[in-house]
Amino acid sequence: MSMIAMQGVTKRYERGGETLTVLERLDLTVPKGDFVALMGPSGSGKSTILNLVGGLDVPDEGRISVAGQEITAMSRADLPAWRSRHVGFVFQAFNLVPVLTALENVLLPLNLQPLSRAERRKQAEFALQVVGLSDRMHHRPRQLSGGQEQRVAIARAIVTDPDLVLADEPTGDLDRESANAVMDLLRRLNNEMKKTLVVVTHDPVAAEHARRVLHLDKGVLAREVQNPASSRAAAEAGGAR
Amino acid sequence: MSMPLRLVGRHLRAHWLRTALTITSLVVTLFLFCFLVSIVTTLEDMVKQSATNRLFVQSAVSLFQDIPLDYQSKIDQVPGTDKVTKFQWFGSYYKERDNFLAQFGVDHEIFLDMYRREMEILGPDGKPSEEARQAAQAALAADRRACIIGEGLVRDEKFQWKVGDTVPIQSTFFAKTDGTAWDFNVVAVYHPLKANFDDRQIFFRYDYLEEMIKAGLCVGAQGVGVYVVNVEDGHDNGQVIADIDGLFANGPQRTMTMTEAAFQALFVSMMGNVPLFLGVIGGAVVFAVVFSVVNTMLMSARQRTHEVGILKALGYTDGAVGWLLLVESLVLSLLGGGLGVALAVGLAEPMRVGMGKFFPQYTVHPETAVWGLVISLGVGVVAGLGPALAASRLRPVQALRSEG
Amino acid sequence: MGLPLAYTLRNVVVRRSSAALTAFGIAMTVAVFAGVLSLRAGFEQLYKPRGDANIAVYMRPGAVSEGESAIPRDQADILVKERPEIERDEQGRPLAAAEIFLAVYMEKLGGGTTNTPLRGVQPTSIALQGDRLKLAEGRWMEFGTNEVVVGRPLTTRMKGCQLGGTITLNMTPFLVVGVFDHPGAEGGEIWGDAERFLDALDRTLFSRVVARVAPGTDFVALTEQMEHDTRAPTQVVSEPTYLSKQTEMSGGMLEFLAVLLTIIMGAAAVLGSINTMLASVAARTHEVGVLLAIGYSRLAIFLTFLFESALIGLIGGVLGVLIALPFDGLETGMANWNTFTDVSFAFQLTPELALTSFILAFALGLIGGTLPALRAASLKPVEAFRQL
Repeated sequence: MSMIAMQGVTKRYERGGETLTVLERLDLTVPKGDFVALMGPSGSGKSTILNLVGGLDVPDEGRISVAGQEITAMSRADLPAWRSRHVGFVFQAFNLVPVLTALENVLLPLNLQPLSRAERRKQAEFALQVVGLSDRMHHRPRQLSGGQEQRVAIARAIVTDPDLVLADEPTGDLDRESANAVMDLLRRLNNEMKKTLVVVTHDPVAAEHARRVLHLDKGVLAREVQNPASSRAAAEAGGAR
Repeated sequence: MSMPLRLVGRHLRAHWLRTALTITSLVVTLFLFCFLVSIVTTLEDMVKQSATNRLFVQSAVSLFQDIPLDYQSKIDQVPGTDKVTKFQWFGSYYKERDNFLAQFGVDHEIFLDMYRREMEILGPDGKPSEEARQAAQAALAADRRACIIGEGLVRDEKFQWKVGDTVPIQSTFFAKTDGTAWDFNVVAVYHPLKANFDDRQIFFRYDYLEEMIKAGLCVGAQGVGVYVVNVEDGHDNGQVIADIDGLFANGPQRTMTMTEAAFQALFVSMMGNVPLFLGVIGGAVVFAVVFSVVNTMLMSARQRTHEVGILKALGYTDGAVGWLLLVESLVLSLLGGGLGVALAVGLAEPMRVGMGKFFPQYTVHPETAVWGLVISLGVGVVAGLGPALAASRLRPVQALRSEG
Repeated sequence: MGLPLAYTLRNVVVRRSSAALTAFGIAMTVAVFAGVLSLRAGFEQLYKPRGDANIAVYMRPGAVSEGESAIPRDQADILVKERPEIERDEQGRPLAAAEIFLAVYMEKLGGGTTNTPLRGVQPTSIALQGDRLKLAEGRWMEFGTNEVVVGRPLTTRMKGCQLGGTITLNMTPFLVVGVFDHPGAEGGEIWGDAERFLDALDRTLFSRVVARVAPGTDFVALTEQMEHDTRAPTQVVSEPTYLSKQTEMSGGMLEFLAVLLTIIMGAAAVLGSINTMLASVAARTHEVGVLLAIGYSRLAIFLTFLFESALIGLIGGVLGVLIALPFDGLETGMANWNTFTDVSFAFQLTPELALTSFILAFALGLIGGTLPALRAASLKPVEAFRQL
């Protein structure tokens, strides 16, 4: 079954008096458990797709279903609650709240769930463990390196155990080593925790970690590439685990 | 809708300078507000707490015009009047003009009795008693230069007078012809029984003043500025007033009789349009505080656009995000405003002592404090509402693009 | 070295709602400042500048105001007739007059009672006032009759003070036969024959003696001479000296009020200014980085932001003065705490006051802009570019 199904999606933006059509009648499906990289020149609409799928924005035309739920039919008021439960976001700029500690940042999505304090704490600590930053949980973002900040952001993205993780240029601000660490982590989320991942990136090395790479151009799907290397690596990784 | 309230505390602490400045301005302005309102209520109290059975008889022409001495017995004969005493303003000051005093020449035989409800006399042990009153009465009768002073003059550092002292007093209206000061002997100290009875007054024998005028040892003519009349129970003030004024309608001096409350009110209104003045100051103060907090909240909100985007992306509702800003505004306002009000209340007594000359009965009413808190709350709402609404309406995508 | 004015102007326009809010805060501060001080200016204008240095005011020793002063008739006669420093007219009559002054209760047209200044004069009093005193309507009162003239402001504020109206003092009615103008405090008084007033009020004492004296008269020396005189102990001061003392309490109170309000509101206005400028700096960090990279000095950056704040301040200042302007010339009244009477005057927004207000606004803008400008000037280009 599809995790994401986009049908005939069109999105336009106003800019300086002109109307730009970023996406035009785009059809896109992402099956459950897939790990997709979206690539393309700037303005090709990759981030827009992410925002639409995550319910952060609404298309002008078309339908979008995520995890079986037609989010384009949902009211604006219901989207936040849905989003907190089903989607985890990872951004290029990490977007951690500077006045909160790592642990508190990871706790943020959990406050929206009906859990006890103890349960929330447990889940947050677990998420930090997954990303390997348990020893830094009481640090503020400014006390962490770029790579560490991004991993905290990933912990935050998975703490409510969403089925879908959306990442917008997650390695954009990182050096090669940290970037690899982050992509490895994302791949583990896909392989071990069976999460569906959609990652927007312009970095071909990062894209290699995904199973499929979709190339977008001017709001249209231009090309699709299977990543046999990554599939094989996943299979091997599965064996080693 | 749940929200991480700790974010509010963190932000206030993160920008501690801004928080401190805003709270300080709130403390100062709310303190001032309470102070100004209290000045007005103090003035109103003076009027409200006036004795209901006392009348003041003065010239219809001017506060500075005397009425004849022979009016006294005539007023005494008006039905409904219990006792009548002279009440002559002395225009006193002690050493410097700045130290002006409320001093009155009275009929010593009946004065203490007429003002039983307003003052009690303190004995040598500092406690009020009937014996002390009798003793004071006797001392007044025995010494022409005797005077009774309020306990405020005992306490005030500038004076520190006590029983047995001879105090030198200058008079602007009855200056001694040889230029020296008047000497009065303090024979007793009174404690006011009513909040609106000044505890820094001096009462002396009118007949002593009369003697000095007759002997030409001081300037001034014989005559009295004011007669104070106690009305017998069961008689209508309005009727007695009409009777007294009617008695003198054909002169030689027309009188204007009024209740003590009306007399106090008259004095207040002669100070000029005090309510208007204070209203202007109060308005400016409230404006300033609203303006400050609004600006602080705008600053705060602007820096939080990015954070708003994050929270919304994580699934926080528009309402929750808006509330966060509103709560921050309310915390600031209530904290600062509450502190300002608390200070006004806490410092009321020291201020009363400090302003002894002008507002010896200064006090801060509970209602004033409540109003101060309400205003603080209002300021918090007004200042926080705009930014809160704006934050709630922000689209996450745009918000995330802006710089934090 | 510097950034062009157009750059500053455009930035203010871009952030116009924030700039407008700040300018408004400064405008209110300036308006209150100018308002209270123009009230004080109008009040004080009634006194000191009106004084004629060649007019002497004789009062009882120790009195600060004629209301406190009491001079018996015989002593007044001695002063008028025997004082050598008093000038005489062609017929050899002394240019001096004894006057009585009393604050009388009068009802206001709109209700309420107030203390109105009443002055009983002698014929020479009018001559002594010279050009200052001008009859506007009707005629002067006839001495020896129960007639009075009133200062113009009283005609619109007090009951009975209209031309043809009647004022009752004690039991005697006095007819208002004229209206006069006088630029000083006397302009709000009721004038009549001193003898008729003394009679109606059953009084015997005068308040003061006024006289024309030769220029250069040494008042201090004269007072020393006369203070302990056995027949007529007196002090004497020049009219300007006398008048300047009459404004001490009220004038002082207004000045205190102006300072207090300006500090309170000024602090709030500065906070607004800081806010606007911080926003400006925050939004332009990238831009500043570019300017630094191009080669503009940090000083230039500092100055341009400071200037932007000062400009907003100045706009606020103009706005504030415009708000206060309608008050200029507005007739009002106030209690003079020295003489205990109501005085009528008009707000006076002098050019000096307007200038001071502009400077105040400019200063508020500068103060508020300093911190943000410093922040802008200390931006590291790397930081600035990171914001992109």
